[in-house]
Amino acid sequence: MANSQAVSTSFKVEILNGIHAFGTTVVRAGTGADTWKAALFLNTGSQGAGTATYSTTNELAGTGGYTQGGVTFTWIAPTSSGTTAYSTPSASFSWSSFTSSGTFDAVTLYNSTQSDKAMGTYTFGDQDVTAGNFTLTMPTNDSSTGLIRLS
Amino acid sequence: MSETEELIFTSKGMLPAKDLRYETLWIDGMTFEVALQLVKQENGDMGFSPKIEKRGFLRFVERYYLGDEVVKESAHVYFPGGIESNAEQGTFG
Repeated sequence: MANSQAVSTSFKVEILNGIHAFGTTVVRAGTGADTWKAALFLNTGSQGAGTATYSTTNELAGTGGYTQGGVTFTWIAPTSSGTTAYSTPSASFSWSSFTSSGTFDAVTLYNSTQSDKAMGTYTFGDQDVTAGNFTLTMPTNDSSTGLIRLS
Repeated sequence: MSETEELIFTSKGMLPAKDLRYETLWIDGMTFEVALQLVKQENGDMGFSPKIEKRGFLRFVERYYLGDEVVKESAHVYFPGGIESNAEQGTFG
């Protein structure tokens, strides 16, 4: 055996589980998972890496079967394979009897418990929905396709 | 035994879905970078790493039309892969 330089794989999983804090952290109300939400954004928005916090700016209007703030979801318990930690929402996101207030192309996932801090934005191209259904189907939860992966 | 007929709300009232024009559309939203990788792989570019990242999206759209009017439109998006972030490690000195 020889020593090797690496970020511990267990540490990556623990980051997803909120175990470590290098800086100022928050007081948690308990040991349960936070409440997570997914919100849809108009294609005129600027959601992306610079999105630190969810806001209603450029979110779909709360009309036509859409509620601003989006839908609540849970994550599959983070785990790892090889040196990659990963997790994926446990179910698809769906909106039914839905008419979008405009053309939208992105969903932002954010932590409702922690002051609406954003996790990430996923884009899917311009889409309108008229009196229909909209579904975001999740990928296979593994180290190469999980919705969030730390490698 | 009678089957339930799907009715769709239109500007001319509720009409049977079978009387409307129905259209489906598949959109492969694979990102340009991934597409480029695939092209390079197919062309045998030796300078290319064969790793193919599963990113982007696959979208299925279904529409009902009354004339040119879209009276019902649904969409279903599949994310074949999520976002990967590298936990990079610095070195001393």
